[in-house]
Amino acid sequence: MKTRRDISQEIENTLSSIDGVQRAEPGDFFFTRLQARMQRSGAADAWERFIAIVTRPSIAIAGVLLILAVNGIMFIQLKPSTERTEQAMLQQDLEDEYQLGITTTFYDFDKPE
Amino acid sequence: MTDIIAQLKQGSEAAFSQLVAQWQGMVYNTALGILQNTADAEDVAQEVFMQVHESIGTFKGEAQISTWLYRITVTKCLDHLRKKNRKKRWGKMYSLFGQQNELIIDPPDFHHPGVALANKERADLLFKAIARLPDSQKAAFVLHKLEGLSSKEIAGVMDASISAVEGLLHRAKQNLRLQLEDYYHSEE
Repeated sequence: MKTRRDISQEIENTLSSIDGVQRAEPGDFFFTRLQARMQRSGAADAWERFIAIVTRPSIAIAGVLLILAVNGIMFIQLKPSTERTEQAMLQQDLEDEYQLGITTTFYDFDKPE
Repeated sequence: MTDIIAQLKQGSEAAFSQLVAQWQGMVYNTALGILQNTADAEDVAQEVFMQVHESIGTFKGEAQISTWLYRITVTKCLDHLRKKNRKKRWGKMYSLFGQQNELIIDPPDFHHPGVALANKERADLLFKAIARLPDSQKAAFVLHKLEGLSSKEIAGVMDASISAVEGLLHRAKQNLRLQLEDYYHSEE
């Protein structure tokens, strides 16, 4: 059975077991392998950079906000105006009077979905 | 050395080759100490030099080139370990649902090629304990023991104060002592 002192000695010996250890070196032709990898990664780089830029939180959030803003503007602009409703009513009156077969009525603009 | 940096900034391949030849051992040895896997260490060492090649323009020369290289190496190694641990966690999760995934298995034992034969068994045991240390303690201990860096040099690499590094080294040794104590007690 090991005494407390033996165990402390073992621990100290183990802790100093890598003191003055020789430096490990990579295998031969490390630079050749490095160059080959750099050439391989060069081709994929452009696409990866594009993905990296697009997926940045600031760019992604700005993109979503832009889409929402464009949607909002389009929604406001395409909302039927009173002018358009009046125009449709005139068309309908003309259609009623001359039986021209115009199918768009001002109800199409005013009726709820 | 400033000549090499100046030539590198001008895109000289010969200067890059010279830089790799000069520092590859230091970068690889540090990576090997932290990752404890030869393939991963080679992979990270290549990534370090690729980053150096890409970002040499941003190197202002305020720090020594060795400090800059150590910093990139430690950062890349810790990122690599985090990615590996994340993959392991997902692997376990997927295995619960029966999905097929590549097996991520750590090699059973790591042997540092520079350790003398007489110390091999003890060194293997120590490396196993180092692998269980928290990341920052592991990096500081490896730089101190394997690369022989002083607390001041480690502070430069890890962008921390000297007292913080001394604290890290002290806690690392304490944790290692506890692990080794458990091991030697269980051996009885």
